[in-house]
Amino acid sequence: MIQEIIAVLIGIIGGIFSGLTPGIHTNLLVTLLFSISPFLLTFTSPLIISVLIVSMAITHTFLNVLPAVYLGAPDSEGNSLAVLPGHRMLLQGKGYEAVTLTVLGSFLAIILGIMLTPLLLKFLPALYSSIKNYIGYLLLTISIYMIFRERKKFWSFFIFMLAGIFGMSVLNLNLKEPLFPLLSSLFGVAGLLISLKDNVKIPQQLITKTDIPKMEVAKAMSSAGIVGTFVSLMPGLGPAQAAIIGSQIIRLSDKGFLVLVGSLETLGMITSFIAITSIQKARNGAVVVISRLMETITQKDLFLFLAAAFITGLIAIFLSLNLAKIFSKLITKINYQKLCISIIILIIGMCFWLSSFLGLFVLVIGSFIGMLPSLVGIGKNHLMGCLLLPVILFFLL
Amino acid sequence: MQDKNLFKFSLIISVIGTFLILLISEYSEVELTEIKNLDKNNLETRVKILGTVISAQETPGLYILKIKDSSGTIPLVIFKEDPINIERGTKIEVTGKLTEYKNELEILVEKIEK
Repeated sequence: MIQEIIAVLIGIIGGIFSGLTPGIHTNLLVTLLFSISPFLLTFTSPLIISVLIVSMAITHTFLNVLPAVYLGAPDSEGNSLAVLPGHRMLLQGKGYEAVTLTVLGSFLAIILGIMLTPLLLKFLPALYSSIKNYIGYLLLTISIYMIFRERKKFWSFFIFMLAGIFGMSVLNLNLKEPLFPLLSSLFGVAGLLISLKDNVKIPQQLITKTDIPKMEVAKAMSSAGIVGTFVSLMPGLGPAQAAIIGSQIIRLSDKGFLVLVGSLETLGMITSFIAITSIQKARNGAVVVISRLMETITQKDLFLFLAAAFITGLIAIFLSLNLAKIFSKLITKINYQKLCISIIILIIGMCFWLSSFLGLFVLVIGSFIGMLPSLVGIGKNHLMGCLLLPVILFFLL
Repeated sequence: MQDKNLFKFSLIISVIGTFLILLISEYSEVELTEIKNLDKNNLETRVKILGTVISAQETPGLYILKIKDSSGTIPLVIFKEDPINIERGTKIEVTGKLTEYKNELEILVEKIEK
């Protein structure tokens, strides 16, 4: 038991580091851990290392909202969508509330995931094969609906397709970490440049409890439960696509959307543990490493992972909310223009380190594409074409 | 007015830039190489090799094959999506990302052709 607790605590420390640093994904830390696993296995078991990975991955899904909301810098496809309403709330002095909402979503997702486990273990194999054949059509329908819902239909279509072709081309390049320049340009640098252009000032931040109606939370979580559970299990899909589908099925306010985005990333992680046990599919970097470490994953192991996730979630709530209070105090004391420039420089540095000159070129072009929706006056969700178009073509062709 | 100019400039750069990246991705096809030429300098990049399967095993979410060509051997890691019908002795061409495990190079397979 002591070993499990130590593993959870070390995992949380790793998750804090990866969650708070833009550009550092859990996959990077998990890969590092994997490379030193032969050494670690001399004094512990594969199961304990796996618990550490579970704890690190879950902590990451709670904490990565902080740079997304306060710095406007997403680090994964899952929370790139949280930048939009999260940053909007920051500009209204409600950054802390934005974090509270995603943290609420994340923790409810752990509970929902645990509650759904018996059902998923029983029905997942049959559901998986039947849903898989329709995912491409579903995504195509959702994308068309998303475009036609906008007032400026031509520009919505144009930006969706441009982002889509851009995304497909970038994913085809022989880059080390193609998602980093792709997402941090479209959703990070572009937003920061617009903030600089508009000379945005961050108002005094309020540390208040959220006033989101319980019904809105219930709507967000129902949407997460219905869509997130299954979409996150499909190859090539992730929380971002699930958030788009979920928010189109059930209309949500900014606050409800933040609960949804927070829940989907954590739920995706929880369901990926169930998926590896029941349908033997590895859906993210953390599960790939667990799958390499353990020869078999039994239901007993799964329950240990879920227990570790639950305990991690409890600690991560405390960490996220307290860090959000610190961020809320600091953000108004810092010159926001200088902060934006520093973050852009940090992203450029990370991008060069991860993906070299070609990555920098992608970053520049993506930043211009990412500014287009704000300049035209349409939703930035059309930029998700960068991931949706390649996945639609993967399923339909 | 300033926004209009910024919009025009962003639009032109976006379209030309996307076209250039599309061209680069189309013309930067991964070249076939021998296993002996793969080293740590190629880590995390895409590589392509042609060889014969000499062993195959399964983990909960993965197939792990070993492939050999005239210059050496290397393990292949394949995500379990659809069942793969590859036996020992099958000649295959694989494209994937070069990674490292236990100080040994391996390929995370993206595409297999028999």
